[in-house]
Amino acid sequence: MGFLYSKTSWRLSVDSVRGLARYPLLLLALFSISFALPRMLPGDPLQNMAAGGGQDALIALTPEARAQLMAYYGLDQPLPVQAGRFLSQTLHGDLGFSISFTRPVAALILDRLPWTLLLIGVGLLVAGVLGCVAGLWAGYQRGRHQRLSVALLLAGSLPDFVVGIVLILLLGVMLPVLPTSGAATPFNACGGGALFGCAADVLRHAALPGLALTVVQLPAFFLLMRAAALGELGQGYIVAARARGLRERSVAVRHVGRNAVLPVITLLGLRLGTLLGGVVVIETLFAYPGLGQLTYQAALARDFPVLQALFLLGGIAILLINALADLLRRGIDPRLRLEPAR
Amino acid sequence: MDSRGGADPGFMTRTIISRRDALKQGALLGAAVALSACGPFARSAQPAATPGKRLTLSWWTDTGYPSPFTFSSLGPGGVVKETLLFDSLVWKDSRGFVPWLAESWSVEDQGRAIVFRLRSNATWHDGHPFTADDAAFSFRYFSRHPFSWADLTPVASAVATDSRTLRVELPQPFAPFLNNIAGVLPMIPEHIWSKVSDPLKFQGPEAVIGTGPFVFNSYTEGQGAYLFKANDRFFAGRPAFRELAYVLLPDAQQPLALKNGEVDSAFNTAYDVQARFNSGAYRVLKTPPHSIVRLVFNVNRPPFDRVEFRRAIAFGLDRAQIAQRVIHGDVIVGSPGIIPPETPWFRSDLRQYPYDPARARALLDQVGYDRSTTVQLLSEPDTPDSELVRSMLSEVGIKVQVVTVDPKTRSARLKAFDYQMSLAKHIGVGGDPDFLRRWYVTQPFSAFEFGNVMHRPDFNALAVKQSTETNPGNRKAIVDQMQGILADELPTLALYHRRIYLIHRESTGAHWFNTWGGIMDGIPLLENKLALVSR
Repeated sequence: MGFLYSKTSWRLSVDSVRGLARYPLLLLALFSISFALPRMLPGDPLQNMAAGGGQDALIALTPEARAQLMAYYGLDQPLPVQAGRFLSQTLHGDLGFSISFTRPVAALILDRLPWTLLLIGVGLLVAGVLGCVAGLWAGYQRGRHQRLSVALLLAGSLPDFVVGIVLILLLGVMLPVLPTSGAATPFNACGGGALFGCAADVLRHAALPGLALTVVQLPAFFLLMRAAALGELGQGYIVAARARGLRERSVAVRHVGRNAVLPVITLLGLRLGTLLGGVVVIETLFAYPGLGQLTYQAALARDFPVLQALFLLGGIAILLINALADLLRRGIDPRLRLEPAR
Repeated sequence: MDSRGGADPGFMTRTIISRRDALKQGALLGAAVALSACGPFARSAQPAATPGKRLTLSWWTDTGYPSPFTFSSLGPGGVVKETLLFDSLVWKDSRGFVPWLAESWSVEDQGRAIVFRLRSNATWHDGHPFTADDAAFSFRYFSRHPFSWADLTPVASAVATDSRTLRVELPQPFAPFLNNIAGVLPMIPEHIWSKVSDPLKFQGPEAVIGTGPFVFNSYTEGQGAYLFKANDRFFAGRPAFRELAYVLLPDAQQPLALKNGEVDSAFNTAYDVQARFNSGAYRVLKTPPHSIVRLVFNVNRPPFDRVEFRRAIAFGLDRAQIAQRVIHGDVIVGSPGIIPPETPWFRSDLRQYPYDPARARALLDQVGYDRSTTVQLLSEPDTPDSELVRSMLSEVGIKVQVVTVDPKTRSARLKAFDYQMSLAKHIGVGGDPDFLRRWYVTQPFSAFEFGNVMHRPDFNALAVKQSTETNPGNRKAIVDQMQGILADELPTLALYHRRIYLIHRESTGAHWFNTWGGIMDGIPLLENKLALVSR
């Protein structure tokens, strides 16, 4: 046994090192994609200054002014030079200067990040917890109460913006109980140190977009948890647990739930990418000033510095979350600790 | 627009005329290099001052930090806020130019010099006096660091000849000088900006110190929330509101927010929406039709290189029906001369293109159009107009494929002339007619100027001539000829002209009015600072 253990540890170390060695390559690929993607879009940041909504207006961007701005933002340089500058600035902690927002990109992202974290946090937490509990319960029902599954399947197939519009109509217009845009009431709730009022106001504004995200995300968690629970319920150790006289709640939570939640944790990491996409739609629809709305605005404006920073940071966040999910799975399931890292 | 505007679009007959003279003569046209001197505000509505009150307006995008160099160039929302903090040499009320930081001005050297006499009582928000040195500095600074709403190419120099006199010299007369430069360029304090080498990165309390009726208080990035406070030192009266707030609201949600009491005004282009508000506690300010919806033709590519084909499209479209289906009322069919009605430069006796499918088919036969071919219509998302155009043209035998792209892609393709026809919706056609020169003669400034092309040297010559013609009557005659050529050639077809409906709560006490020729140059919005100031 001792020989086997040490061999496994050795393999684990080698695999871990191999796993870590992949990260610089991944980062380099991520960096290249982040730089290239915005520049593959038609148009350039200074080409179109349109308001949308059919209210484009006259901007006196003369050829001279345009050339001056191109030079100022380094857009007149060859692409390799621009890429080198992006890399060098990023390594020095400088994400550049936004062309359309005329602000440092890092400050822009830091201002918007808390709103998106709040939304994603609310959306994932509620969807994850509710989805897991409901999925476990549905798994226990073994095929009964199919209506819930069908309803959630339908909800999960709806596009984000449809869910958002329906919620606006229901809870913002027909029954106007929640604000339909913005992240806080301007000038009022958060002034004068009224912390409780401020928090309540922020949560009220996050309610509708958070609910929209939850509705979109919940079915995936529910269905996966239900399928995993069904699979676990047929296992011999469940029969053994019951034979030992364990209470059903204990069997459900400590045995079925604990094992069934593993793929859900994997899903959590995988869903982050789609969640970021969903946040773009939801934040834009609700005029919610987070990173999703910033991405949309920057894409429309072809704001290269903002887009490349958002893509790079988004990619890094997904890598980190997946690594974290991997660690979490290993923490929950001792069997995985003996498997080599992949 | 008042009758004066239509009667005489210019005033360039004497070195200095008084305001009263100008009124008598109907000399309004603010487009010429003009002269007028008089006390401001006589013609503008007077709002009732309500100290301690906040007025809350809405806009659908965050328009950035409101310094003259950092506000967002996406639409007019940013520049309009900037005008509430900063002032220009002249301004406009409902009937034309009024003295502003300059109390009078005169034209010298056959239109090659304009001498401004500046106010003695104007001060910056930080208490420093406004002087001619500040004005001259502003011109110099903006020539090095361009202001995105004013092209200073026509200006050779600006010099302070004494503490209250500014002399601006031009290499040649520039007819729209007052409208496009003196009434647009914000004056900035030399004692602050002379130390700033990178104005794009200069943000903070000092960057928003102007002479305007409101003082910057706060801006929340991303949330588009602005709070301005009344400037008690304002040189031209007392701000009617102690606070002016802007909140960000998607345009579709603005009427609901107005109803819920969250804002005091809402913006809309649909006739039926505003009609629901025009009573009770609300009023609607209807702007002149300064917004246009049009088709742009690439006359370099067949079959659009044939004028008969372009005319067939015009006859084949029931433009009144398109407007009715999109804006649901108050239909104004597009003028073939582009310049909209209810503006002083509008010419009505042009070649017209009423809906006539038979004539459209005959013209297609005349040019031997192959009805099996398909032409592409470049369009932005959310524009029902494109589908209506496609449907109507298919009935006369022109198959249309609608290609929907985002605004940037559209303008990139227009700029590269990679299109056959494109749908455009924009403002900017209700101000000075010099925009027609930029569309067809010079390099384009902005998105909606891309793609405009016409091969008529006589039009180009007229376009250049009107920009230097300082006699208003002569200039109007030239602009009329230009509209005649546009109506004959149809390089672009105006489908319809749009009004903007500004729904507002009557009880606020603000007396909104339509600015002559739009705020600055053709901006059909209500936030003219004169509506927010009482004497």
